[in-house]
Amino acid sequence: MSTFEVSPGRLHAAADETNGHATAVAGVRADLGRVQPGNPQFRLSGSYEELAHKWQTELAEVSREVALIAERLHATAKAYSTAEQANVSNADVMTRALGDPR
Amino acid sequence: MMRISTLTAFDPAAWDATAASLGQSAAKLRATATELRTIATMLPTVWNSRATEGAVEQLKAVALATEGIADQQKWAAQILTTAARNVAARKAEVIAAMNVTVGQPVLVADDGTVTLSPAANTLPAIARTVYEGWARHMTLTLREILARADAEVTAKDAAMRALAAEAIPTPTSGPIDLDDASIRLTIDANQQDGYGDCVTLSMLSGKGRADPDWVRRHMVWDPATKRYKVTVYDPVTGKASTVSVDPTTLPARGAQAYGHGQPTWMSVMEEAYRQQNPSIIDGAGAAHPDVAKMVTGQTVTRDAGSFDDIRQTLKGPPPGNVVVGTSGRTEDQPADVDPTKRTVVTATGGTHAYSVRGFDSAGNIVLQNPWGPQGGYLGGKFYPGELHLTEAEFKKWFNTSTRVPGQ
Repeated sequence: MSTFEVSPGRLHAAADETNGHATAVAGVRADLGRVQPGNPQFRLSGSYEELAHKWQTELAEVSREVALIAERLHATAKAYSTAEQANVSNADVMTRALGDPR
Repeated sequence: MMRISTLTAFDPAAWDATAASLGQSAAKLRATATELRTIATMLPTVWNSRATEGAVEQLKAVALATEGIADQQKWAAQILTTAARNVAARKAEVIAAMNVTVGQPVLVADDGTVTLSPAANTLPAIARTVYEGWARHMTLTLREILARADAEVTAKDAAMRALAAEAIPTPTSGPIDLDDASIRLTIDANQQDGYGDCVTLSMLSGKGRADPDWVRRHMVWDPATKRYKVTVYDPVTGKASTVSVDPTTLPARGAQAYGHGQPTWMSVMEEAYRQQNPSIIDGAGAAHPDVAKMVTGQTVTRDAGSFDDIRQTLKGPPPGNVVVGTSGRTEDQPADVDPTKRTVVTATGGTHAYSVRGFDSAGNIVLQNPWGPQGGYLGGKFYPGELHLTEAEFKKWFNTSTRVPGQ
């Protein structure tokens, strides 16, 4: 751990891993589009299509949020890495890199 | 009503394949949620600042949302698997029954009605009489199979619609979605299960359908305790009190959603009634005279009730609800009554309550069986989840209604 109490390399790795999950969720979402239509008289019913659409919307949102978190982790790691070299204070890095941490 | 040609054309492969695909999807999402939580736990060890906490909370929130979707997919898979298995079983039964009629002097209509064919005209009178009895028996057999298949498809659709409306809570994830559609769709998909509280559940079904806001007023989430505060009335005096219900410890044998058995808002309210009045819910409560007061606090009208009386109560304004029971029947159903019209009366005379949904386009009263949209079995006979009865049939087999005016 550096004086900034951050390990930029490990934080980049965590960001990569997080981003991988965003991709995985997007993959699950894509698979949902391949629904078996079934016998017309026993189709999966409008309620199933409604459900699949709802899940696709929600999974898109989850994937987007996870990707956003990964992006922010990368930005943070990069900012700390740069700041460490420039000897900028920990508080300054947080302000510059993160803005509102939500 | 299901037709023979429709049922024999059923192929469970599509439902099974979709269920398998959803099961895999749910497993992947659950694994992703676990991984996201692991990252959230690890994050403070590589990034220790004030901002870390925000990222950790975000990761936990998306993990929870991901698990919620995984749960829904798992439940949808269960619903589809159950429906595929049951409808395929009905298909096998109808094919077996049809095979029995091959080579016999009978005609089988697509709705399951079996009649003597012209070939029977050449038979001696005694043989014709025997065949007529057999045709009636086969009609009952086929129509019962069709009624069951019909109920199973209806139940699947009701359960899927309830899932789509997010009417089913994840017990540990916080308050149940209590918008109007969720409340009504939960009623459609609810099944009674282990308690003998058909009157209570029928009363709840009717109140929720007529006035969803009544449910919201009587069942309030308390974020501080993570429990519901449910308003329950004294079954004799009508005095209101509040019962606290922990949604994570609901009894497994209570009301639940068809197909996957998850608890619903009806399970929460039922548990409040059970805590306050255990004998009504978990005892000989079916015929308890004060259930309407326990649920509503209102003074109600209970008598035979004509269709006009019932329509008037349902219509309001404001809209009310009506519970009917076989306890008031003026005659028992004949043994060969059409299976789609069977009403529950046990061999020992035990009776059953139904909630009035309304009236169909033919003017028949439509009754919801609290057992659930799939109906159920008793004494070797199938009883439908929904009944459509003429007024003459209603007067014979029910002839009693508890009419609760809207508030």
